[in-house]
Amino acid sequence: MHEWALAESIILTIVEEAKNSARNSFEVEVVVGELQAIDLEVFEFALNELKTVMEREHGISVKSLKIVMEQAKFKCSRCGFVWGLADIRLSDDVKEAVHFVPEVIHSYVQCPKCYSHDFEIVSGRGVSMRFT
Amino acid sequence: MGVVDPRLASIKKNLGGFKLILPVMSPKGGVGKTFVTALLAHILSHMYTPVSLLDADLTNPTLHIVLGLDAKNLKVSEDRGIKPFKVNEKLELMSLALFVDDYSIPLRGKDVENVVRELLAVTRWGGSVLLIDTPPGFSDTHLELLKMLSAVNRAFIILVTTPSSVALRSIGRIVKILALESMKFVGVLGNMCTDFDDELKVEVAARKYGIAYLGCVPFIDEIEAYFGSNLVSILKGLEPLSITMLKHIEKLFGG
Repeated sequence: MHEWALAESIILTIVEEAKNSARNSFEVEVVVGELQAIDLEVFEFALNELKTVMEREHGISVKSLKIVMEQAKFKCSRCGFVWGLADIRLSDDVKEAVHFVPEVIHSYVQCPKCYSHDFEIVSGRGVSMRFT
Repeated sequence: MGVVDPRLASIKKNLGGFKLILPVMSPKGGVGKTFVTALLAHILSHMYTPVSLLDADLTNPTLHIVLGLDAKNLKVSEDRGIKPFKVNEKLELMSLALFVDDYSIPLRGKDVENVVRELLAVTRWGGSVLLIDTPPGFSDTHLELLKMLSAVNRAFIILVTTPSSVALRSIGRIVKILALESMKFVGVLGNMCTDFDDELKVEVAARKYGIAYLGCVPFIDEIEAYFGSNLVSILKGLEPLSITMLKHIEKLFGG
């Protein structure tokens, strides 16, 4: 599953941070964007599995791992109109493509007001993280 | 602490799996980068199987067309990431065409950065050599790719040019700027050369700019007839070029 690759990115980043900072205990917040439509159940399962392996193999402890959802918001670069995912309809095929690479939404979605494909994904794109 | 992009760690790991990464570049459009990338893939697949291919022409991917594939039939498969499309036993391809069928993909700078990172972070490659077909110019895609490739010290650029003075001058410009950043080159490859004079022009330019001359692909009439599996038939007439290319690549593998 693609979710495993995304979860692995989080774990690899924690391992790298441990090397660079000489710390071995972390509190992590993972932000999951609505647009990528990640299967949260699979993602959380993958994160926990990989976290257990990391803690065992690298002696790193993750005291808290919080997942926060972020709503997708788009802003038209031509007319300035702002909209969200609830305002548009995507076919299952498009949803799947956007799940893999969120930016392909530019091929399928137009600004609801001026019909331009030139819009910005303002928030809720994909997965990011911060150490808290 | 600020927001961290977790993809960077995966990119470093994934690119670290390659022994060589070969971006195919030319600032000038229309010199045949995509065709040459496909030819090189076939040449390299004699020794390094499978050869991994990335179509980094993000807004208008066409490498799959030269490889004889119909975007409608390109399916994505997942296995703890995204598997590249298996073109045949020797080649695998990752391209945005896998996700958008026959649409253009209008992207601004930030989107380009995100697509480059996403593809490099989640693709589960199987090859030891990665060939990257890049768009013309020297802009967001190139800059982001070079930034990501700097995380692993194994990228060597292949420049493609026609014998035209405009294309050759463009090669000179890009060599000058990339050399200042200590980027490494395999060399320059001529394309659409009609005679010995054309080949000489490319060779002289390579000398002038201080990079290796890799040879020339001749001008081929009705080139579209060779797209797909017929590409291999072109190689039969290009044996000296294939040998030279493989020698250059072999040296990089060794060192």
